Amino acid sequence: MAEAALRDATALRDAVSPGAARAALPVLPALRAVLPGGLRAGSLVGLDGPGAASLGAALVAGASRHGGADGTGGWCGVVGLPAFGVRAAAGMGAAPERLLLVDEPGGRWADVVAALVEAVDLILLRPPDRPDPAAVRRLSALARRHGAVLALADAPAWPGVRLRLRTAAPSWEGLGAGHGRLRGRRAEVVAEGRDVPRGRRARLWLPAPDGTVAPDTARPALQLVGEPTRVSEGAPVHRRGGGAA
Amino acid sequence: MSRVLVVWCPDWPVTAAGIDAATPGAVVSGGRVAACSAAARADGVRRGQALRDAQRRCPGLVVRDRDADAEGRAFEAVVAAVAELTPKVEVVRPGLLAVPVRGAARFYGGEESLRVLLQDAVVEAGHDCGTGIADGLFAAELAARAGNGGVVVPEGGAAEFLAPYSPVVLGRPELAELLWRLGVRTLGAFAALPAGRVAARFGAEGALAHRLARGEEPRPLAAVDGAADLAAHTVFDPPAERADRVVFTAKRLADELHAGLAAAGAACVRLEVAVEFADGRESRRLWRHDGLLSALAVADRVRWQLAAWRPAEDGAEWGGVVRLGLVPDQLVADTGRQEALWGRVTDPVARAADRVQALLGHRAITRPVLTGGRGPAEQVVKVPVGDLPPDERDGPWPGRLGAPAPAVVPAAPVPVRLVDAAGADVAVSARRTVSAPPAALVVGDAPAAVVAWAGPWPADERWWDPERARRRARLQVVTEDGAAYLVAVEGGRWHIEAAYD
Repeated sequence: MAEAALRDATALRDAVSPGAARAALPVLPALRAVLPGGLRAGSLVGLDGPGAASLGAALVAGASRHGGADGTGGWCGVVGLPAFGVRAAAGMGAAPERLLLVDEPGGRWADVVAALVEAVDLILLRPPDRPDPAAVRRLSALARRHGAVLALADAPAWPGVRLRLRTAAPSWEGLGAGHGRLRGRRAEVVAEGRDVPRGRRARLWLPAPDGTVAPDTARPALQLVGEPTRVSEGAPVHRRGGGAA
Repeated sequence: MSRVLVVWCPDWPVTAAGIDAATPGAVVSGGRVAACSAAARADGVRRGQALRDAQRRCPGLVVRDRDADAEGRAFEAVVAAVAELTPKVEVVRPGLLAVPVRGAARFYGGEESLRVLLQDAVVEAGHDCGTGIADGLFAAELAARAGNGGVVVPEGGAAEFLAPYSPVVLGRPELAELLWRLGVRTLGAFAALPAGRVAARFGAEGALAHRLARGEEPRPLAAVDGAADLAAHTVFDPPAERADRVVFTAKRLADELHAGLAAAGAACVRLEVAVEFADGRESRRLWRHDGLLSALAVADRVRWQLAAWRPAEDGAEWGGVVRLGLVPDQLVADTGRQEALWGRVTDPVARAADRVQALLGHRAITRPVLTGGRGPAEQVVKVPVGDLPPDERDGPWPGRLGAPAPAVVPAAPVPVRLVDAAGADVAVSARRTVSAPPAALVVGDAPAAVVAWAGPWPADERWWDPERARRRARLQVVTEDGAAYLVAVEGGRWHIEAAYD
C-alpha cells in the first residue's frame, strides 16, 4: 500500500520534472543488444571491473554521436579521469569537439558535476573513494531533474544505481609470442541491476580492429573435451565393443 | 595566393633611435648589436656582435639602447603616409608593413606604378625604404630588399625568384645550418625536395619553411585600417595587490575598448589580455571574443586569468599587478553576429564551462583536439575552453600505432619492470631486438605473467636536435589477467604508456 503510494509519487515527480520529457539517451548501435532502449534519461550507470574504461568511452561515443536534442550529437563531460583515452573514444565515434574534460576537480568535484549536469547529456565521472552522501543525493537528484545520465566509473558504493555494465571473458586478439599487434578485444558485455532484472549479455568487439564497437558474430571456437564417462554426464549406456570397464 | 606589397624600412631600430644611415651607429640590447646603420655596416659592424667588438671595428660608433616603444611610435609616420594612399595596411613589425595589392594596383595603374608611388610617399615622409611586390608576404619582403629599392616579382614567379636565395633568409638559423650541412645551399634546392619527406624529417616547422621556399603562403594576410590603435591599457601605481581592483578596472577598460571598436565598425575575433606583475613576469592569454562578450564578461576573463596565475616557484614576493592591457586580435568588420570559426560552444554549455572555470581556474576545463604525434599521449592536446586550438601538426608519423587506440592514457607514464623468465630486465638493443622474450610485467610489487607480446616498435624522434631528441621502443603485452598494455622503454627504464582497458 505504502509502496504503491510511493511509486505514484515517483511517477508524479518524473512527470512534472523536465528530465522525464527527455527521451532515453542513445547508445552505440552495437550496444543496443544489451541496452535496447538506450540509457534512461536522468539515470545512473555503474561501470566496474576490467574494461570499464572502454565501456565508458563507448557510452561517451554513443551520446556524443547520437545524442543531443535532435539526435545529431550531444555534449559529454568527463570528470576526474585524467587518463580518459580521447582517441579511443573518437575511434568509437565520439566527436572530440563536444567533449568537456575536467581532469582534476579535486574537492570541488560535486560542484563541477552540478554545473555540467545542466548542459550535457552524459557525464562520465570517477568520484572520490568515499563520496559525501549529501553530494551523492544532490547529484542524483540534479541528474534526474535535468535528464542527464551519470556514468560512474569505479564507484561501487554509490546508492541508487539500477544499471551496471561490466565485461566478462575478455580476450585480446592479434598478439602472439613476439609477433602481430593488438587487433581488438572480444568480450561479453553484461548489463545487470534492477533495471534489467534477468540481465542481458552480448558478445562484442570492444574495441574492434578499426577502433569501433561491433557485434562479435563469430561462433566460439570448437574445443576438444574429454569423453564423458558417466551416464549422467551424457555417456552412452551401452558401449560398443569391449567390456563394461 | 594573394599579391602583397611590402614596404621595408632598412635598419628601422637604428632610424627610430634617431641615427641616420650616414652616421655609423648601432642599437644594442643585452650587450649585443641588435641593428646597425649602413655606415657602421661598411666598417664591419654586424648584427649579434658583442658591443665591444663593434666598437673596436668602428671607434666612432654612436650607441643607443634599443627602445621597442619608440620603434612602434616612429613607424606610425610611415604607416600614416602609406594609409593616405591605400587604406588596408598590416604592420608586420615596426619597420615592415604589408598592403594587399589587388584593388590598389588597379586604381593606381599597375603594380609597378603602385610600388613606386608608395616608395615615394614614404621617402617624402622622411624615411628611406624599399618596396616590393610578390605572391605572399615572405617573397614580398625579399622583393622589397632586392635590387635598388625593390622589385616586382611577376605573379606565379615567387618560387623562381626565391630559388637563388640561401636558406638563411627563412629566419630559422638551426634549420638553415642543417640544410647547409646536408648540401642544400639554396631555397630552390630546398623547394625541390618532396613535401612529405621534408615534413617527416623536419617536422611542422620545417614543413612551414618548405611552403615558404616554394613561394606559398603560410597564413593569409589580415588587413586592418591603418593608424587605428584600439588596444586599451592602464597602469597601476601603486601596484594593485587585490584582484578585485584589477577586475574592476578591466571592466572600465573593456568599455573603452568596445567603444573604440564600435567607432571603427570592427569586432575582434580574439582578445588578448596582458597582465604585468610587479616581479616583472607577464601573463598573456588570448580569449575568444567574436564581438559577443560584454564588458562584464571580459572582466570575468581577466579574473580567471588572475586566478589561474601561480606565484613564482622560488617563492618571490607577490608584488601585485602593475599593468593591464586589452589588445584586440584579428579585427574583422562588425557584421552583427559572427559565426565562430571553430565549432562554437552552445550557450548552456558555455555557461556551464564558465562556472567550472570560475570554480577551478581557466585551465581546469578543456576540450580535446586530436593532433599528430606518435605516442598516444602526444596525439591529444587539451585546450582550455575559450582558447583557440593549436595549429595542426601535420605530416606522416612513421612508427605510429594504428587502431584500436588505448582507452586509458595516463597523463604521466607509470614506471614498471618488464622481466624475462630469469627475472632480469628485458632490454631492447640498438638493432631493435629484445634481449629475451618478456615473461612478466611488474607493476609496483605485483608481477603478472605475460601471455602474448609483440614489438619492439622503435620511435627515434627529433634525433637531429639533441635537447628534444627522444629514443623509445614500444611493446604491446597481454598479461594473464586479460589486460593489455602499451609499454615503452626509454633510457633502459620501462613504463606503461597506455592501457587497453
